[in-house]
Amino acid sequence: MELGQIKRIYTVEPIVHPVPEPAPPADEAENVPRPSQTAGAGPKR
Amino acid sequence: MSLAPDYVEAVVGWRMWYAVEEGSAVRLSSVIHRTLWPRAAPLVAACRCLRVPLWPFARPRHEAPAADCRCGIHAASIGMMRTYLPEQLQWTKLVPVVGRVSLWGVVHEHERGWRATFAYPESLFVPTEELDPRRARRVVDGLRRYEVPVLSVTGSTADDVVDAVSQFAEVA
Repeated sequence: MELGQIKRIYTVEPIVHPVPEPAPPADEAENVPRPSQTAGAGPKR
Repeated sequence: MSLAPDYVEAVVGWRMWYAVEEGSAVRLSSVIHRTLWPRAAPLVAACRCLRVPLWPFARPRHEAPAADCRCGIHAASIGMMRTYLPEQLQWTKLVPVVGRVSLWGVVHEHERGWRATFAYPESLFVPTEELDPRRARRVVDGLRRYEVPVLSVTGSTADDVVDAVSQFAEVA
């Protein structure tokens, strides 16, 4: 971009970080039991 | 020497990206250098100016942004961004996306915009009027993985799109 002349230079360290927290995994969001919670509950032979 | 920052709130400007579809994923790509923007992590500036090792006047490697270079992650006012949108938005493999971007780190403030060390999208606007509806939904949903607001806007020309997003222009 043609931004023109520099007016000033400064440092910015945001208190509120601009990168959002990642959303929880879908299985947690939907409250689906994790594999560890269903251990031993696999198909019976 | 003090290490305290001059400001504690990110600078917010406008810029344009392309939405790049990679299988089922959708990523933002810079327009000039085609850098893919990471999700859930800031983009970190790196100088990509041409360096010819044997050229005696070549600039040495440096941190970005540097005052005597054009490097850094760019953003501008919404009016300046308008000049980078094609007049007629013709949809090809790459879908134009406009939006606000947060900038921080070392920030060089220019007459018509900024260059900075770190950046992350703050909100995204996808002109979807001329996109196939299924593709439009795929792009919008895919960009939501950046965990920022993503909105569809109407308009098939650059002016239409800038008019549509201007209502969100709290800055610029």
